[in-house]
Amino acid sequence: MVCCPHCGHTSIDVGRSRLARLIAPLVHGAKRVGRRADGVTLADIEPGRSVVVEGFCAGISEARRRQLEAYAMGAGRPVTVLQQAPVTVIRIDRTEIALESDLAAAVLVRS
Amino acid sequence: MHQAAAGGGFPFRAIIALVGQPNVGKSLIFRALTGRHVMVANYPGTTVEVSRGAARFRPGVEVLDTPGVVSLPANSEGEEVTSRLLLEGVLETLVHVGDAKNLRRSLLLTIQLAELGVPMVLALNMMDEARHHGLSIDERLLAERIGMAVVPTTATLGEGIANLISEVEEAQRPHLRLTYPSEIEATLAELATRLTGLGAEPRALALLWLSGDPVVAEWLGDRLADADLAWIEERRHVLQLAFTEPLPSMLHAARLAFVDDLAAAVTAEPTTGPRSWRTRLGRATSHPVWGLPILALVLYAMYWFVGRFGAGTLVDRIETNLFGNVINPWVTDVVTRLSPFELVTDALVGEYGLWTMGMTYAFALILPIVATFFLAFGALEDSGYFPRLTVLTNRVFRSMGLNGQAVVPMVLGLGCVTMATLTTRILETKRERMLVIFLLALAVPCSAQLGVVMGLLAALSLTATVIWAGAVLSVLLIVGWLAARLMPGERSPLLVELPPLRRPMLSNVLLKTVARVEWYLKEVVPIFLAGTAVLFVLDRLELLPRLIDAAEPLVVGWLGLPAAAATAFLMGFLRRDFGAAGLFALAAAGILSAAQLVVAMVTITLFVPCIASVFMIAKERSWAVAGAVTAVIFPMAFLIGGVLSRGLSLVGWGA
Repeated sequence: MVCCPHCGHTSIDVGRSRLARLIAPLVHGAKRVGRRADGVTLADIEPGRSVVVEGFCAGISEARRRQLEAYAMGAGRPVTVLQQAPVTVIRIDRTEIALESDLAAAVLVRS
Repeated sequence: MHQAAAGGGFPFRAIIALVGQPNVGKSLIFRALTGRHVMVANYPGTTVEVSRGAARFRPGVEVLDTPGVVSLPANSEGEEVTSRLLLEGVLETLVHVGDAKNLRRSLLLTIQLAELGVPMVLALNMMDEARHHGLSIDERLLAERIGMAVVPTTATLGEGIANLISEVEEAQRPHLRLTYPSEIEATLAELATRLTGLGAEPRALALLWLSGDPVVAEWLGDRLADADLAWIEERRHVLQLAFTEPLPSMLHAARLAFVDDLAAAVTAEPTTGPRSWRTRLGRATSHPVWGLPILALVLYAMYWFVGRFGAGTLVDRIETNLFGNVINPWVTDVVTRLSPFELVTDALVGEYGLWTMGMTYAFALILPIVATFFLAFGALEDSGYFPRLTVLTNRVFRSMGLNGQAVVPMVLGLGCVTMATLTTRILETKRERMLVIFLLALAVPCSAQLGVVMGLLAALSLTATVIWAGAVLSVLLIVGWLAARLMPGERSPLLVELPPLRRPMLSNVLLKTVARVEWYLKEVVPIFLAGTAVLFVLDRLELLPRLIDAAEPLVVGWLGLPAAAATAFLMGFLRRDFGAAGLFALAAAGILSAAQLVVAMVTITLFVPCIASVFMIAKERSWAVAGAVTAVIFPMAFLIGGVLSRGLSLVGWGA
């Protein structure tokens, strides 16, 4: 509980609740804290935000890269993140795609 | 046109080929174009199936439905087959079936296909969904820019099909020429000079070669002299040095730029999509929190439909009323009268009779259960729910070295493990398929057995069912984890499209169910009957008691069961539910204690499901693999049974 010293108004401090912090990722979708050295990736984006793809990290496999490209993902394309848990779900054009967070972390984006 | 190299020859005289990404409605278009005589066959040397049918609108013309391609160059077995068909086929016309509401994605493939130089038509399918999203497409402008006829269609409603047919009949070579960066164009021109006279468009071959397509590489390897091969190798290498990005990405970027431009020019779209209840439901099904209660609901619905209705009501009606009271007495009567020898009578309608045991079991007990399962499964499949289930279950499968896509064969295994083994083809790598086939054979109880096991254990107590379920599930997870460690190879991370949820189409579901039931009857029942015959012979030759004696140390000593249970296990070798039913009889007679029953059930569940599934493993992989799987599974089942038996007696439960 947080208490205002002046008026005595009290409210719940969600940040203090260990239980709330535990289930928050489930409810909101997991947020990766911190940025990778090479830049912001799809795995770092909150659900509901739209970003633009910049490119792919070197770590991505050739096959997966081709598959993502076939969905019209490429530099300059807008992508909306729908979920981050249990896996990353994004929307490109009108296609929804689910991919593991490790894969999502190989896609570089900018806001 | 070109004929394939010696050693097989190209088997299909395909004339019109349908190509497209998965989930675009290609098979509906295929059905709309073909008549009743459709043949499904394996592309030689693969497990990929290709459908051919006679065109409804012109005699003597064949339509070929290719496996879905996400992109070329080929990444999976299905894509390789399509690639090969396009290269080697006697193609008159190519029909690209695209998704109208995902124009960019579809056009990316259209361009690649157009480069092949075959007369082509683009069918933009699912126009109804595009309209629902508020999209409007200027097909005339689009047709002009890509140099081929564009036909909007909605295959589910039959719209645009007549138009499509008339355009297909008059299809022309597309005049579309995408210009790539100048260095690439230069190399393309050079390569094209060496790649002429091979029976395919030189520029297309050159483009596929530059993108590293394995099918084309092999194809060229068969047809070019070594010197030429080395030369085109070198040209590609030199070209790559001029860029920092890999060549395939350069090509892709050029195509994407063109497609972006084009899509912007021909579509007028609203800025926001519709927030229908369907999108929201779709969201919820893969949501980490809401997805689970929805899944529980779906599972309960399935349990009710297959377990209560199928295994309960239907089986009752058919087994007791139809077979028990009407058919079997009549057959027994007829056979006894007509049969010349008592041996024959016994073989057909005796205790281990082909009819009284084999056929009755197949049709009265198993068929209703399996049919209801396939019906429920088909409805779920058609609604598009399974990809969302892949999302929810991905983490569980991760620990087993798989990804969420394994959930589909596993769920189907709850219906029929033999069929599920076949379905492992949808998995991408051989490693994944092997792992899932093994787990299916070990720890997934098929619906026939589930029915018997649940009925038996539920009658006993809830705890017994929980112990059984817990034991089997633990085995699945632990063995899965172990097997993943032991099997060499990388895990493939999940990447799957989530098509929109939709109301399952009854006609689709019915057709699929009928096809699956027919398959089941043709593939499984004969082996089933063979199993019955084996039991009959064993009984006749009075070998059964001897085999029971031989099994005694294992069944009595290790598993702690009475000697009579050995017969049930013997039957369990041939078919798990035979065994379960045998145990049922023992339990009803009060010979088995609760703990013994649970131990016996767990052991039998862990057996290889049935001879039919072993045959299927042999067909899908090889007899060596089938043998290895069987050799590992039976000892494992007994081992775990014995451990459970000791565990339960230690805890003092159910004595």
